[in-house]
Amino acid sequence: MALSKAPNESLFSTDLVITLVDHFWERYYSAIFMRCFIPYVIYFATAIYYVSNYTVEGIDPEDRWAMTPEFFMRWVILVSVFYFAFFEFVCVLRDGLTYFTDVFNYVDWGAFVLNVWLLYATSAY
Amino acid sequence: MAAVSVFLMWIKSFYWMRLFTDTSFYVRLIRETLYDIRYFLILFIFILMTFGNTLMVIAEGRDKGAAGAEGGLYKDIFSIRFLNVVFNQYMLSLGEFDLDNYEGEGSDALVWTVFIATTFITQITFLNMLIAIMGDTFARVSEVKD
Repeated sequence: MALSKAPNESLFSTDLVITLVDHFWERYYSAIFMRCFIPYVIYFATAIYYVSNYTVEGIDPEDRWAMTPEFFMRWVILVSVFYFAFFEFVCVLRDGLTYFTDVFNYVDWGAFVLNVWLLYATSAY
Repeated sequence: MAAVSVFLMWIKSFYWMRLFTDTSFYVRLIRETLYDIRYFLILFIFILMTFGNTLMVIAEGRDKGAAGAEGGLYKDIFSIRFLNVVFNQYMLSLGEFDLDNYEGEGSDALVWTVFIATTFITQITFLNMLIAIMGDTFARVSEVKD
């Protein structure tokens, strides 16, 4: 039985379990921080700036492929969406139907779809 | 669509706050609080509809042409009377008293009676119950944290 599903919570107060949890948590924390959190901060900041400044007004059609900040942000957002969508696919395969019980997963997919659509609507004419 | 997108992005930032010990407590507290008040919210919506519907019927019997919706007792925001009065009651529960048109022809005493009942039951009783439920949740989540 997995430790996380152990019926007796007092197991978690034993020295052995505390040491194991601390050890694995530090390892996973570091991996999550570098591979997920930092990329998300970049994705978040870029998407918020892009949507707040470009999507409502739109861009000049002639600037669609010009080397402007908007152009670079567009690609950062697109790559980020696929990067995080990959993680979500892995989660779907791992969790099965329980994946759909977490409301944050709907938030993720909602943001992915909307961001891709907004990139398209802003830059394509 | 852009507004929904930025909203979802900001909401997702709460998910990432679970990564850090200091902020994860509050994220858990918010989640637990929303879960604990789910049944209370049904009652809250019902009490808003109770007084809202009462106000709607009273307003129909009053003078038309006053500022706002029928009888001037509430504003026309959603173009649907029932939603307008429920919203009016929600604002009333938060302390937004729009009393300018309460003194119209007839049914004044009734309008003020509903107003007193609304403020006492919705604003004082219900919202203090909400705070009490949240206090219980806070105590329980803090206990788990310790």
